[in-house]
Amino acid sequence: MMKITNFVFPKTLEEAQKMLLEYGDRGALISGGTSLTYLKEQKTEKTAINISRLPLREITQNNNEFHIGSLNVISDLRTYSATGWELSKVAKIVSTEQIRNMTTIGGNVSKLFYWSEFPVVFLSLGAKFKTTSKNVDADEFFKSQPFLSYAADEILLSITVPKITKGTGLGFCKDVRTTAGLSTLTVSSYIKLDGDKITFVRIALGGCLTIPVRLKNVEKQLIGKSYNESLCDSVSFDEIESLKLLPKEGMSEDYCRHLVKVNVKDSVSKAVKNAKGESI
Amino acid sequence: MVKNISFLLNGISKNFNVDPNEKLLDVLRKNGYKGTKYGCGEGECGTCTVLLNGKPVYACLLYAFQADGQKIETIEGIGTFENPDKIQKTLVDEGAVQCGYCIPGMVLSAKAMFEEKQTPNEEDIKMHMDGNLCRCTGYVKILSALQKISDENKKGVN
Repeated sequence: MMKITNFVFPKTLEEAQKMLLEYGDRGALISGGTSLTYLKEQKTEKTAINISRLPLREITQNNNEFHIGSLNVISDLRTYSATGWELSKVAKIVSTEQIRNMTTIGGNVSKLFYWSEFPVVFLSLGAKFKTTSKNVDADEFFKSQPFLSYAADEILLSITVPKITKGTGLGFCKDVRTTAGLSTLTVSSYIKLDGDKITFVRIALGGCLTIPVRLKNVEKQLIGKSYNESLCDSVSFDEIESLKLLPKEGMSEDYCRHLVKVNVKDSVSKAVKNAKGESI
Repeated sequence: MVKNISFLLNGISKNFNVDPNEKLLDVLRKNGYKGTKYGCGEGECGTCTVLLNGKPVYACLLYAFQADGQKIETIEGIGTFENPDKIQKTLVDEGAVQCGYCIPGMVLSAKAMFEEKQTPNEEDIKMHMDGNLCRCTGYVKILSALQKISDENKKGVN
């Protein structure tokens, strides 16, 4: 874990950016701070630039989208309630209540760990990310470790996700050894239906990968098909053969690949039920 | 470098000189608040749970400076031996306390849960208490004690 030798509390976004430039490598941006526990390799002395007091902790909506401030903690996403908001279901099964109260969504998506659920969900939803210097979509944002692509004074401001409206659905699955354990495999599917016909789908995989990926070939095979329970059985999962998976908890890589197929099938099924307004 | 921080601790404004690298758990225990227990030290077990602005957090993961200007509640602020809080009393009455090491954290998590929802169901209780481990594995009685409070709240029993 890094050694914090000083701390500062910027009062404004501009001040925070100035401090990031001023401290450079000697500074560490902190919001919730939970990820620092896992950065055991870093022994360097740092000044913590604590941005937790900046006004970036609200969830707002317009006609089709929700805008999530980067300093919302996971519990904020759990307790938020609005028509078209499905992220509560994901938030309530992330880690433990204490971690949900500490982990900010901005930190969760900026420094990726294999077990992080929300990056997978945001990738499937095609979320949009707004920082102090750019607007990028999820495919671009999750090309690599997001924080490595940040400029020295760049701070994530908000994440925008679509509302789940009639005919659209989100399906989320994760494998864990115990309820509060770290996710070892996460799949999220976002789907649009016309009757039973799948007109649009994005499927993201994580848990067994540090950087989540989309299963684009599986998506292609599903688009235009009418959904039934056996649809995913006829789909080729060739693309996962080329992925270097990181199986956990004693799983073999083969077993992990098998679980990917099972969870894709389940998440698509959940997304379809969600799109049809059926309870999951 | 030692720096001064202040926060509201159990309703009283307190100042502490802290090392920037110190965790809130260490600062609390060093200053006599030993009801906040040291368990795993890595955010797994929940014995160090305190309330930060009314929400349970792991004091072993929270840097002390993160509490600056905030409101912290520890078990010392919840009831007394002579006049225990309803959660404490029910846990004792239901025989839910075995070795007792996890109980301060359990009580604080339960307090936050009842603040959020007066009548949680079994699923709610399990979700809110999922960050607190009982090494004696006495979960059944802990959960049933909390369910009893929920049931009483439903009936309007004080």
